Amino acid sequence: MLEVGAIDVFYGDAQALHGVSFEVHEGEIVTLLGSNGAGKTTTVRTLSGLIRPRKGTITFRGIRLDKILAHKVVSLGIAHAPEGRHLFQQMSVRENLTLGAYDASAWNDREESMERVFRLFPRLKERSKQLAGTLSGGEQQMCAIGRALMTRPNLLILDEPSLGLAPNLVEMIFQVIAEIGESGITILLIEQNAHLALQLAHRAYVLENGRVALSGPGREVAANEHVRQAYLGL
Amino acid sequence: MAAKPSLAKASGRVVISGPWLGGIGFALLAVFPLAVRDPYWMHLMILSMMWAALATTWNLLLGYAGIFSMGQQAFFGLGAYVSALLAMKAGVSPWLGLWVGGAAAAAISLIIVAPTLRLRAAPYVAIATLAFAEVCRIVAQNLVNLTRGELGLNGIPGMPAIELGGLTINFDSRSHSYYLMLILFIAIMLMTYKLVRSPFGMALKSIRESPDAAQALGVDIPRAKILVFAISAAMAAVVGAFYAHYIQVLIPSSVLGLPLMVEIIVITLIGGRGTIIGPVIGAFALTIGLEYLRFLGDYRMLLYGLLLVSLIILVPEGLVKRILPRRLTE
Amino acid sequence: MTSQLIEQGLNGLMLGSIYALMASGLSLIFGSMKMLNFAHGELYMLGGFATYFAVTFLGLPWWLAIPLAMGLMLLAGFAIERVVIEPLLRRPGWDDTPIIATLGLGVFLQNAALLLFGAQFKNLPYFIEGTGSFVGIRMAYQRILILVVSVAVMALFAQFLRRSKLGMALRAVAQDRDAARLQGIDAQGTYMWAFGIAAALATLAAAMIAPIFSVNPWMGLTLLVKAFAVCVVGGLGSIGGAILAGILLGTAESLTVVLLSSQWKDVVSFTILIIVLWVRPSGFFGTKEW
Repeated sequence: MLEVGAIDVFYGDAQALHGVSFEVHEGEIVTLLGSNGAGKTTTVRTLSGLIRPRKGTITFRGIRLDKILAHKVVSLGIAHAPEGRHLFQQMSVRENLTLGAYDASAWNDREESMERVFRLFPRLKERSKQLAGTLSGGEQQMCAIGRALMTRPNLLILDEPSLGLAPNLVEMIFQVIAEIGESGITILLIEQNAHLALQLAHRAYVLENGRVALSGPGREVAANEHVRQAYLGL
Repeated sequence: MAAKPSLAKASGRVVISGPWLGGIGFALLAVFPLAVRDPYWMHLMILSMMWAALATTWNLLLGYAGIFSMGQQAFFGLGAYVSALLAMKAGVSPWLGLWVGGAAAAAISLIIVAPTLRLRAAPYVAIATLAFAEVCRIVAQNLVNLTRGELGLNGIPGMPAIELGGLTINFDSRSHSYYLMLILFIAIMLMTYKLVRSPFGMALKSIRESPDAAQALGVDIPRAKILVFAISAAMAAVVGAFYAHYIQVLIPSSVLGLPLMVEIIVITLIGGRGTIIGPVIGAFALTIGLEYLRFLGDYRMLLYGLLLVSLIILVPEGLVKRILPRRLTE
Repeated sequence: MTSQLIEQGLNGLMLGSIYALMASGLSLIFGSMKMLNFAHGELYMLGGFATYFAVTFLGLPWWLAIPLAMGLMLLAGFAIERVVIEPLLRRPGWDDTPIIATLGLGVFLQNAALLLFGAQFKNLPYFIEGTGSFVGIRMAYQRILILVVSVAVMALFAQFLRRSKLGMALRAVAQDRDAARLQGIDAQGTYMWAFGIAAALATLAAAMIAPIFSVNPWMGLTLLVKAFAVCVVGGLGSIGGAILAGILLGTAESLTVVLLSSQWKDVVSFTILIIVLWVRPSGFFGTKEW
């Protein structure tokens, strides 16, 4: 479904990604692991068209993503819940969700989509009129994921959903992510919390210093010595 | 500070080229009246130097401290009116009036610097300073009994003659006025140069680049801003006072109006902000260039508008930075 | 004296509603594009001239001339944004660049208008003749019309921002540009709309007040500063705040005219602006809607 072929990405003159390649197949949950500064968010921002790679290709269902404007990426069926949530703080939960469906194809079904999101996250329904800026961390993350789901994506990219959340909330979020995966949506999960991510994912890639250091099925990567030491703290 | 070594390296080279360039320029200006006797051309050069000095005082705020003031015309006009009125109503010698005008402007600058202490964003500073300048303009316009408003304050006395070692220097002569302006010009350029190179100048630049970092390094930002504003205001006012006694007519819309500010911006932009030489080149280029385009007449402001837009889109850093090698420009 | 004061107070309301209209447009641009449109006064001026020509040369009645002028200026706003502003927004760097560009544009437009239309003040006939009397106060119907239309349009504008898809997109871009793009919102496109709508609002303001104050090439600058004053006092991004602040400024000005003289009224507005920037730059009324 998604093929990233040897992309080089620069911030000005500084190279952030060196020949990064990975794939996501339809129906999978793939996780991209790495510590701070490894290049995870850069990768994701490049996928979404906010940055352009200097070299390499990104293909989604045969279409070249790296040639498309950022706001058009959504119409291809890719949704991105960015790191740090980036909700529209001055707008209510309902408005944030509505904006999620901005893209023409999703707009007409927005009421239905919102119902689905509320079923997934009942807390959001309670707080639907509340300003997003006043929500708790966990609720904001729910809203961010919900907003991404409003686009009716085929590929859902989640950038560090566990960031700043208490452990029980993280468990809950990951449960929901699993549910979303089961409903047929392909998921690309970027995480620092390797433990839960590896439990969930079919396959994993490990980014270090802007390069893919390791890849393979979730279990294998979890069992890898280096990964166990560096990312699982074992 | 990582900046220091490269600055020192650049200083090493600049010390050789920058001041040399300035020295040559000053020397050329000094001999100019000896070569060209035409009073009209001398008048053009006087104006050029005036604009260069004025633009430099503004550049101190924007190019070095990063403060986007749109009220420089207020200080210029203030110096002009204060000195003129003191001379006309109170019989104060313009030689004193120059300094009083400068001091008055520095004092008034405290009013306008206050909002900028808290607000960093250019839009706020720009509008606040513009509003202040407009208030000054309207006040000058309305106090007709004092200033004759838009009818113009005319009959302003010129600089009185001075005795220097047996010689009487009389300022009715154009060339004598020229040399007075030249001295003012050199003084302002030198002061600015010294200021920019001093630790204070570095503090200003750090405020421009990153106020947070500057504060973390111990720069007293409010104090720095107040100081640079006062200095800039005082210098602009002295230029204004000279202008008053040279042209001998003052009209609020000319010396306190927005068109003055626009001209300053165009000049600085042509030359390049954040450089000492930029406003100078811009001033001479524009003043002399406009001479040849005199047929434009009413279209002058139109041209300015077009220039501003084109420059900022195409050559935002200024022509000087584009053309000259880097080491000459800091 | 009291009736005169009340009359002037009502006048202030009328003036204030015009300022608030201008401020809404300015605030829209500032909120979504993060830039101060120094040419806003000239958009107002051009809108006034457009209305004038629609009435005098096309012979249209005011209720056709004004929408036409607004439509024209909407397109003009699109064009200006595309040609002058676009190239600058793509660049990172100094936040004063758009100010300088719009300043240049403003100067250009003002002088172009001067050359094309001449220096003479152009007069428009009142839209509604006559005066009405309420509780002993006489008020020209024109002035009441101005107040009613301005407030109605601003209420519509507020609803537009709140409810419509484009309105939500504008607010989203103002709050978090990248996140908006991730939802599929074309940020560049919204900028064009913001500029165009602001131009249309300014046109309405100029057109409504034209019968009273006439149209001339210099009317722009003062309005710009006052519109900004309203934005600052009212709190940038708040339409309700803009209305309240507009009323405050308008009333202060009108009272100055009565108590002092008309030549000082601008000083009052400008001084209020400076003081508010000194004391409370975030404004007094309204919450951040951007």
